[in-house]
Amino acid sequence: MLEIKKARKVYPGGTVAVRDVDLTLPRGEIVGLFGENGAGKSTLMKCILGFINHSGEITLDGEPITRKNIAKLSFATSEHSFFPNLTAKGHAEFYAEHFPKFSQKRFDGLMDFFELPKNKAIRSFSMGQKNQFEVIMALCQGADYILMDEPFAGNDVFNREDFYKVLLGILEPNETVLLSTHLIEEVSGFISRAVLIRKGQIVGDVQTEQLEEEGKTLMEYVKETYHYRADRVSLAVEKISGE
Amino acid sequence: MQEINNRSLKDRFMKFLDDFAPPGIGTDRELSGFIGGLMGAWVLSLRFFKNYAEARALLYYDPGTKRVLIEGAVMTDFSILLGDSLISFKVFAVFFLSVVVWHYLCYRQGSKSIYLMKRLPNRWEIHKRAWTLPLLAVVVTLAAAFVVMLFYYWIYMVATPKQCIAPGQWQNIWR
Repeated sequence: MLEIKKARKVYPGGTVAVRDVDLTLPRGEIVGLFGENGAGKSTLMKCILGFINHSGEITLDGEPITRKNIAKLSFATSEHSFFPNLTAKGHAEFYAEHFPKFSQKRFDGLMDFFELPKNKAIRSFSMGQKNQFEVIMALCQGADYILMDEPFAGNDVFNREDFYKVLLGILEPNETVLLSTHLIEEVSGFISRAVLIRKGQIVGDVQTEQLEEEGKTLMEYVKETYHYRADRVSLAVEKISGE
Repeated sequence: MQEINNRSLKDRFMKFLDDFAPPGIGTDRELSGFIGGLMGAWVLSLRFFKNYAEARALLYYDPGTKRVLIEGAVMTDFSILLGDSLISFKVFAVFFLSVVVWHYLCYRQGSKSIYLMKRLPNRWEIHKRAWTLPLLAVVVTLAAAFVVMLFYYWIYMVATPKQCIAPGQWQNIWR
């Protein structure tokens, strides 16, 4: 279980990026993390991974996150965390050397499925391929908790669809995914829980099953939680056009 | 067979270097740069021979037929002739030490692979891959400078008429 208690990140200058966040991610869940740009999604993930200093407590299966258990976490980001000049094969060797649970089988299967070349430097890949590769490495590391921060930015819809299906097919019951994305409608059928973050605070946390029972779509829930004003666009257009 | 052995030896050596450099950085290029720099430093050190030839010429006079050693002439000290001939090795060593900075910065070039390095169970991996090769290069460079100096010293002692060499040449180098 990944437990976040009172996590808080204040940047120099006083901007509070994460505001006393409490969140628990049990094993085996696929959780969508939603929020507008600057809501604190990426910062929260970076706090979990220990990339940035923060206050509060974050534990992994009851233990603080250190180098001893950090291999239980993997990370795919739209900023990309691969080595651009290294080949895919080289990455697999590097991961196998450093992450004892690295799955060569899963790596080979996913590389073949997405038809990515193994002997070319990743810098020569297209943006979509780079994103695919980034996610492949996060999935193959052998981590129990897979954090994904806007991993599909730049991929076409078919590509993303394929990925969701493959992901659902290959994930083990003990693997947890925390997926930060703007593609709310697209992932609604694929996640089991939705967490909404706004101005650094968790403002919504719901099981998709519960939404189904209530007859609500995820998008409706998001709009409702964010107090989205449906007439906002028409009012703006009227104001601009002067009608 | 010999060629295959040589190739596998080279591959193993390059693999060894790769394990101590930022992944994908191109250790072959760094190795070529190092060897080229070392050669350049050695070429620049050849000015020692100019200094030596000039100082040795002063030991003789030329009455017209054959050079004759001036009686009581003393050869300029080796340390003076060496002067700053080896400075290029020192400059090169400092340059290679600065490569450490590049090795840290390269994790932010073209991607944020620094995120991966920070997630590794071995916290020293990033430092190992930043420092090892530059430090090795510095050691090899300084060792090469020492070997070159020994070679020049040997030439000085062998090629200079014995009676012209002032005592304490070796000690003078370190003063």
